[in-house]
Amino acid sequence: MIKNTLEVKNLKKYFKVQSGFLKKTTGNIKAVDGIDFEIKPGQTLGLVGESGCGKTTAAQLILRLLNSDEGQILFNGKDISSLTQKELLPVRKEMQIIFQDPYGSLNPRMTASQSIEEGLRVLGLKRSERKARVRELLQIVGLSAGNQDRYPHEFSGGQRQRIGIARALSVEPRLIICDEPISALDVSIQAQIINLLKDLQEELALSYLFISHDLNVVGYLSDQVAVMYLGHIMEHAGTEELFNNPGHPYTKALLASVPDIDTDHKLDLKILGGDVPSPLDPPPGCKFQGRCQFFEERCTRTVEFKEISKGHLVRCWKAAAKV
Amino acid sequence: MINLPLLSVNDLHVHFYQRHGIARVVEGISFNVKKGETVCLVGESGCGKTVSALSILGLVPDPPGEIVKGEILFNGRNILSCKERELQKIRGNQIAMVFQEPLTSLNPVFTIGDQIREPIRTHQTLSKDKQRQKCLQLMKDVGLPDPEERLNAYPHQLSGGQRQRVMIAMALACEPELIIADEPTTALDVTVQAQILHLFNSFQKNGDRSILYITHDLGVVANVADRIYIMYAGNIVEEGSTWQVFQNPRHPYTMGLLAALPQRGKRGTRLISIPGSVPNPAFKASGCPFHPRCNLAVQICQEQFPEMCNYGEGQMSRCPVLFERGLN
Repeated sequence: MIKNTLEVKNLKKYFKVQSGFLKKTTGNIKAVDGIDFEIKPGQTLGLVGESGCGKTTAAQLILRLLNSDEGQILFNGKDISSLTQKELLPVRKEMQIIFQDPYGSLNPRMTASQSIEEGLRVLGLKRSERKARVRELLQIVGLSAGNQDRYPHEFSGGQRQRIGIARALSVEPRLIICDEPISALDVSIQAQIINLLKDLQEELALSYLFISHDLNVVGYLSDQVAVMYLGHIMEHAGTEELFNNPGHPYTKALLASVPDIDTDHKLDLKILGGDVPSPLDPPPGCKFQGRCQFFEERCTRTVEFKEISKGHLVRCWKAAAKV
Repeated sequence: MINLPLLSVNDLHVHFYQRHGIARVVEGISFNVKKGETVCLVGESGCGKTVSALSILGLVPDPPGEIVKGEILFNGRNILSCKERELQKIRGNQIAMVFQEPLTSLNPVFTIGDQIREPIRTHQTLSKDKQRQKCLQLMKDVGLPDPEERLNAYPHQLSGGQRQRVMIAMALACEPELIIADEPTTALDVTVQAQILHLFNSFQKNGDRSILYITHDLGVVANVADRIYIMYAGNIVEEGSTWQVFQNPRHPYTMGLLAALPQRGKRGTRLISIPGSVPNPAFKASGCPFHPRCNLAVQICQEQFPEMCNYGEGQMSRCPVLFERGLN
């Protein structure tokens, strides 16, 4: 059996809300409230959700940039959720992140090559080895070697994102977490970066956790898709299955809200009312209950995942009842 | 003359003077908006779409910007030759604008009610009580929940979607003939974006209001627009009805944009991307501004600025190479 590159079990992170003079805890923001998923080697899991649903927090937990409150993070079969910073070092080399904002994620006072080789320096590579590797990486991400001594402000958004990708690749990771890597880019540049990510995956057998709010991109890139809402995963399935046969009312609403260029002219988008509610002390039961058109009394009780077909998990009474 | 367009922009040139040269942000664009029509200006960042919109309201910062040439006719009257006073009568009253970021465009120290009332106070003479009633009605129209309570709320107390609804209520306050919406949904989540787009579409069903919608999102365009103008580097490269442009794009840039869209149906295939990046407005290529990135470029594209080629039924494209190919 092939080992999963990443497996997350019942991961939780609550942020305490404190107020008053004595900083009494007045509530919990349940940013990530018990999520499970796995990523196989060379595969892409798309994590979709609206702002505030906890997708970035989940990424930070997996990278141990934040410490989780509960749950396990198995990386190559080994639990890394309680390792010390020192023990984490070799693991950090194996997983890297590409950030959303290519303007904010590069140090403006470091040249492209300094940014890229920083991880290599931590690993203790010699200067000549680092230089050679930087040249190689620049070539891999499609930048000419003449760019290595330029500063971030001299690059365009797409080029900066390429530097971010080169930096992530420098330490030869097996898993790359892409946190909205293309949403800050222009349409014509997005396709370039998507193609680059796809090529790299094929050549280097990388696994991606692809976080995005854009269903079109996720549908194009991912093998599996997990839909998040207020800290819960609402639905998890293979990409084709999820898009063709969505089980959860939220997934359906999300899919119906995406403006598609293939639709008939001025077709009315189906509207999901209301906004994403505050994650501060949400009601018990289904997190989507406040906006769901199928709301019933039993939705206020805890809803477990139900498998409605092979590998297709849905957290909804209604979908589960059909099977 | 009958059937005069509500707004027509003719050969507009806007330059920005910078330390290291002149940025020709808008280079001779012409477009028009008819009554009751939604027209989209589509383009990537830096293509001049926002500057074009700001010129219509006389809001281009001068200096460093300057409208060098052109005319903007609104109801047959040239806005560019209007005095500031006359412009103020038009702004918010006949032409209103909805901006991209509702949080930065609303004033944080005034209540929602104050801000919606402001255009009414400026342009109409109504008693305080009537103003309040109108304000509440507007809030209901744009779908803000509990208008009575929201009247005294401050912008930070609302969500992004609600703030954008407030912006729209302000724009609607004086029943303008034209609304300019500059990327009104870019900062919003998809489900909220769908709500706002629905709201825009509903204005048109009950009235003859015109909307000039500015966006880079082709999916949104397909859902709101009657006609489209595709902009690239300060020029309009293609225009036509939404259906025409999406079904039969006639410019390599439009074709590239459509092909580059990631979609579920394209899974497993490689996206066709446009090489290179959007040019800096201060250093544009000679000839056709798109030629360095175009896979159909020939010698003449580098030398001569392309003319608009007419494909009939209102579809025009600035690519003579493709046009001639179609003829042969």
